[in-house]
Amino acid sequence: MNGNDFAFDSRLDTAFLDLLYEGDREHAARVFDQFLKGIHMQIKEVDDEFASGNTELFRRKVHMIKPIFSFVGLTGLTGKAEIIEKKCNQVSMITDMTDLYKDFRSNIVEYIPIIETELLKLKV
Amino acid sequence: MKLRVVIVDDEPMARNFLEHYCEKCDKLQVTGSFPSAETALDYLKNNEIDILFLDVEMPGNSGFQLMDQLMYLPQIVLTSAKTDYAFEAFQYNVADYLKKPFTYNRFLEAVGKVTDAPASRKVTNKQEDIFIKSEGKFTRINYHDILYIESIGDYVKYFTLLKNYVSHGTLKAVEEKLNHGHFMKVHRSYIVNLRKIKDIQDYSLVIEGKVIPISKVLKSEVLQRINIV
Repeated sequence: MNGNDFAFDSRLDTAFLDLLYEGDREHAARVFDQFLKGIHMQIKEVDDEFASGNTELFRRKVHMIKPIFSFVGLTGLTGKAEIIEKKCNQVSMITDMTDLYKDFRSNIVEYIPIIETELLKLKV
Repeated sequence: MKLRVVIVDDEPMARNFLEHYCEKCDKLQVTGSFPSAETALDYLKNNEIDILFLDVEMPGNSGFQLMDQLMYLPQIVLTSAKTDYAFEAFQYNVADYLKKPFTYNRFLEAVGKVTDAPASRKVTNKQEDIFIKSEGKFTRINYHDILYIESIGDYVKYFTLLKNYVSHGTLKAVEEKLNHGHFMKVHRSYIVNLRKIKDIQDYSLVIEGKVIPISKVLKSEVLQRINIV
């Protein structure tokens, strides 16, 4: 990140994060904090819709959370959410997307500790 | 004088991002920030604003439905996580369309388009009526009164609650002339008013008791265009 010589973790989309925050470390910290505070509840809501079997309601939840991953540099997850969203219009049953969704979910879980570490670094 | 801004977006992070961008920009002042079209409606009806940053797909009413309910429209900047609504955006004559997430520079570009526009507040210019040539005369029908339109050979039949009108022409020609976001062709023989749909089941929908088929290729688009809570 410019200005304060802050470098985001290379596993995140650092180029996009630098463009998004333009050296505003305080703003980045607020956003990362908000992401971590909300992500578990939001994922639970998506899980619940998946379990309910209603593809359209599931798609809407995925659509809603899709951009928030990019706010913390997880642009790849935004891309995966987009694939799931499109797939919702093609499958006949929600279970046709089980593997796709499991992969997406496990990726989120993998990345959360990285975001937590980044937040601590941003707050220093 | 600063431009008065309202933000409508169901996603809190997206809303906060926009609020932050507006704070950074000297020209703007956020006077309202709402999580849904329903919560924003009263405010927008009672307060004059200059720019509305409006999400498209939200639980409850969509951004387009919110615009339909306003007698006057400020300059609109649509914000969406997908670009599928470009055609509707064009129809509603919006100032810009931001795909989320977007950078501050892209945001400023949108603000520039709004401030360069001739008037910040204007009467909605969407035509609410069409004239149909039926029974040897031109009859005015309000868009909101049309339930659905059926193609019958070389004719099309407009169904309203009170009366039906038969007119010479094709469904394709009607589709091209229907300048209103609430209408959609759901089958080669039917255009429907999406707001009048009572039920959808499998590959059919019901309007005022009439069962209308939905073609397989258009089913997902129909589901996207209606509001499922």
